[in-house]
Amino acid sequence: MTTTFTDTFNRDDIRRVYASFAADYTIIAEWTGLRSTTDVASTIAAIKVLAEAQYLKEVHIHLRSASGTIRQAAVYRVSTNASGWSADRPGNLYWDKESGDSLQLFVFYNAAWGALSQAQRDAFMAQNMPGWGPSDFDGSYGAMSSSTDRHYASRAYGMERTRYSR
Amino acid sequence: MRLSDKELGNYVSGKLALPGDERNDYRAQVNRLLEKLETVLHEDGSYRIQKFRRAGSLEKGTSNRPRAGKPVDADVGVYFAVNDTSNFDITDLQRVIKKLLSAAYPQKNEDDFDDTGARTFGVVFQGSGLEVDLAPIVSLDADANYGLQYSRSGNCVKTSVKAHIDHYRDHAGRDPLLAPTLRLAKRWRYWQELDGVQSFHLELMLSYLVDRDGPAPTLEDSLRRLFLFVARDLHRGVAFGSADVSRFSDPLVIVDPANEENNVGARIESGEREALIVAARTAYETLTWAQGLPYQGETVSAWKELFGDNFSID
Repeated sequence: MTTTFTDTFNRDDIRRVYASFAADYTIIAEWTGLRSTTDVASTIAAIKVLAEAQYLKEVHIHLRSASGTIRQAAVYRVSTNASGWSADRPGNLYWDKESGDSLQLFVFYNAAWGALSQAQRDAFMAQNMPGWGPSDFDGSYGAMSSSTDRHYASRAYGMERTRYSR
Repeated sequence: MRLSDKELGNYVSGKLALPGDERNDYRAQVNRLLEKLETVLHEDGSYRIQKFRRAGSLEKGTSNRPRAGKPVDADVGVYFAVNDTSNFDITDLQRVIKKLLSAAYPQKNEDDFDDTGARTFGVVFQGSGLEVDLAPIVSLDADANYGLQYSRSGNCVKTSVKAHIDHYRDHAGRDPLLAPTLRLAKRWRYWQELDGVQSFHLELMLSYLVDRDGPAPTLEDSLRRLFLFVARDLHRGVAFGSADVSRFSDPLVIVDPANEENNVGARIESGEREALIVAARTAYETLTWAQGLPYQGETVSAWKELFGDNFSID
């Protein structure tokens, strides 16, 4: 599978932006203690490959209660038009864990992924995202309050972080 | 990118640690001082000094190089035998130390003996830059293992130089990365200007993490878990064995491993504790972010924010 980069961003730009996302996820996982080191490493490795292949549209991280209610969420929306963004530092995601809470992560693919054949998608998943599966989460947060608080950018590639809470 | 133990070790050994030969020279100088004092004690039986015990970073082998214009510190506990351990005058003991030093070093200038410290007596060796702090301690047992010492807050507390040294050696033996992590943490504390936080506090936090989580897998992980601990868990306090942090109401509680009734963090004020937590949170975020950066130069730049421009891995 060949990845094409533009003259406005390249693989290093994606990696720099990904580093901020990866730091956020690691901080959430370690702070709450809801994911093992091994699990964190494999999750961010899968998302790194997805980002570098330019199939990534959004990443959603949820802190859910025992009943499945989303208590906190952080959503990362990819932009390839981020040249004017300031580059923030990751962090300030210190979620208080309650008994029975769990941490879940969802990715949404972009149009380039949709253009792949099913066989190509299956091959990519098998190679890079073992253990991942489909979800019925539709990406909406209902009445939860939201604020976009960080922009991670390197030249034209960026991720915008929006937080949702009750 | 992650920095390897070898790369971080280069920084620790090349820029931070007091070189082994210098450490040996300083320790030899302390030994000569103590031998001289022992000779005076032997010749003049009027002194009621039971034992000298070397303490602190120089004895533990965790001293960093002194900063420009600053001396290398060596700590020595001077254990006194007194008739009534509930009724003694610390200034009398300090006076005895000064008299002893004057007898041992008749050629030395009075200015070389610094008695301005609230609880210690300093001896400066102008040539080498070594400063030996002699702390009077009232011995509580025949082996001078435990004693009463005036704390920095002015209270008289039971403590043990021997127990502190043994505690450190036990933990350093279980985690070989404790010592280099402590050196890095001391440098970070200096560079972040975290007043009030002593090396002993950092050492006890790291020892607590060895007890709680086992030896750290890598030096970078060791440092990150210290910062995470400070940012997330320090407010709960640090205690060893069956010691109970809830008996203390100070902003920061670090129970003395030699005496569970003594909080060695008692002197830290709430503002100093908050500054420590904020700095640890920033450090934790910075190092976590640096792990994902694509190039070594970017990674090193991020580490420099925490340790200063002298940080290097070559």
